Amino acid sequence: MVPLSLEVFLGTLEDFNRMIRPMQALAVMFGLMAVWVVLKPQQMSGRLLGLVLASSWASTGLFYHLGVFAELNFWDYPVGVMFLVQAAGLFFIGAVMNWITAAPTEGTSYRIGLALGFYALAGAPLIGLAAGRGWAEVGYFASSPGPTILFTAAVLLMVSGRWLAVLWPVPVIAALLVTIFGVSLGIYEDAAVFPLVAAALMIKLRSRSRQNGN
Amino acid sequence: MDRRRFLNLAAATGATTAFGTLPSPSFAQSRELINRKIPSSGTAVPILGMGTWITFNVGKSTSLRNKRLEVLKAFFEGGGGMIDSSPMYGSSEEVVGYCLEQLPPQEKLFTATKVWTVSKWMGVKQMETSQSLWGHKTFDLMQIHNLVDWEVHMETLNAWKSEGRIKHTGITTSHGRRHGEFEKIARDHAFDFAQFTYNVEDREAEDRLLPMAAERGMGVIVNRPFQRGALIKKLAGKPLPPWASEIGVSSWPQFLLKFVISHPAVTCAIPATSNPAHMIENLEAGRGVLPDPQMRSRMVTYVQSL
Repeated sequence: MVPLSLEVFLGTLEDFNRMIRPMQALAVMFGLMAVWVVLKPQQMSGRLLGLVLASSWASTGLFYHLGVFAELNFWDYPVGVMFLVQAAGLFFIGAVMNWITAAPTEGTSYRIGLALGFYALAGAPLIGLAAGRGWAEVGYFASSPGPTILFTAAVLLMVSGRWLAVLWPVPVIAALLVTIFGVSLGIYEDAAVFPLVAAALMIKLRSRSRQNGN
Repeated sequence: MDRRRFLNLAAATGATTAFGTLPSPSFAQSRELINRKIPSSGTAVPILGMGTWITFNVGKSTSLRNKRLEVLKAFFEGGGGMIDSSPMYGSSEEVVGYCLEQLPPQEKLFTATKVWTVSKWMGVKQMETSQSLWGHKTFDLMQIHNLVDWEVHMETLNAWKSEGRIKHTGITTSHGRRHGEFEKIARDHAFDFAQFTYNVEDREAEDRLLPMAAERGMGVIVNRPFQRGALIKKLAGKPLPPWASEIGVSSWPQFLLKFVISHPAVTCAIPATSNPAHMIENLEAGRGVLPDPQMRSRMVTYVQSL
């Protein structure tokens, strides 16, 4: 049901990445900063995390989905709107209400979150490069859906706070769509997004049930 | 008698089964494609059209657009005329419009697109957008895509037809599970065309839809003659039957297309390609003899045996 070919997708992604350069590098720096504020929490860390994540979803929704790919793929209209809804949720819960507690959670959840965060920022693009694509033919955090979803799941694994459960459904649904797309076109790093997000959610749920048990 | 004259004579008399090799491309292009008449209007259309799903959805890239222009050139030079698209296919309509603008006016052009949205207002807006994208004020065929809001659009299409803004109306589905609903709609309402999937592997349409279309005097456009490319992949590397040359077939795509277009109820099939060489190869299937019922059964049995 994907209405475009791999050739057209990669060509369009290349044009998009060249157009927004060097925003990808800047976004990765903001991502690293978000990891830092989880590791070394400050008073404003929750708000900062909310702002970074909300911006990444808003920019991906507005520019990648609605701005570029909606012309080629009708699925990008609803997905773009979904990204904006998630951006609004992250902005409200994180930046406005300060309900994200940036103190790192302990144990497996935290360690896997950290690994997933670095994978989203650097590992996923590296897989694309290893597959023989150029730097502009791979997705990056805050400008492509796969890395943005994965990084958000990673942060949600590492933090705690009120109402964070409502921030999971959109990444899970979006991850499923990205994986279907990745499988259809043979983009390995995108194909892996849903299994990784589903695993992250399972770990989070297990971690919460353990905490409730204690 | 030289080869050209011999083949011309054979084609004219339907005796192309007498020899086992295909004519050269340059010669093939000089011959007309088989035409079929639209039952409701008597208008003749070439038996092979061109689909645009995925292949023409290339966005703004000028280099990709120009590659598609080569495909369209090969299509027209090979005697093609009918182009089918849809607003669902991303930028395909815009790219078709771009390509048509680069080419001289085509006498045989038969423009077919679809309406794929909900509500009368949105449908009208979408069809007006299609007119603008194609650069054509009148469409030869406007179809309701995948039965979406069909009752509403049917009224609009009939009104547009009576105003001369479209020449034919149609309804489409590409999902086998909706054939029952599709048949009921097509039986109860007057459409000039029905479009659905039919190929050597997916022959569900033979039971109800094709006989119904013939009985109701509807033209039939066949989509997915290669089952979205799956049949080509499946058959690649497998030997063509030794008797393929009897029906003028020298490749699997031609085999698959000959099977589809030889059904007497089919008006045309719309294979899609982004490769001009494949376009030329595909169009060869629309010339010469078509398999008779006995040969069609043989074709099915052979594919099933692989």
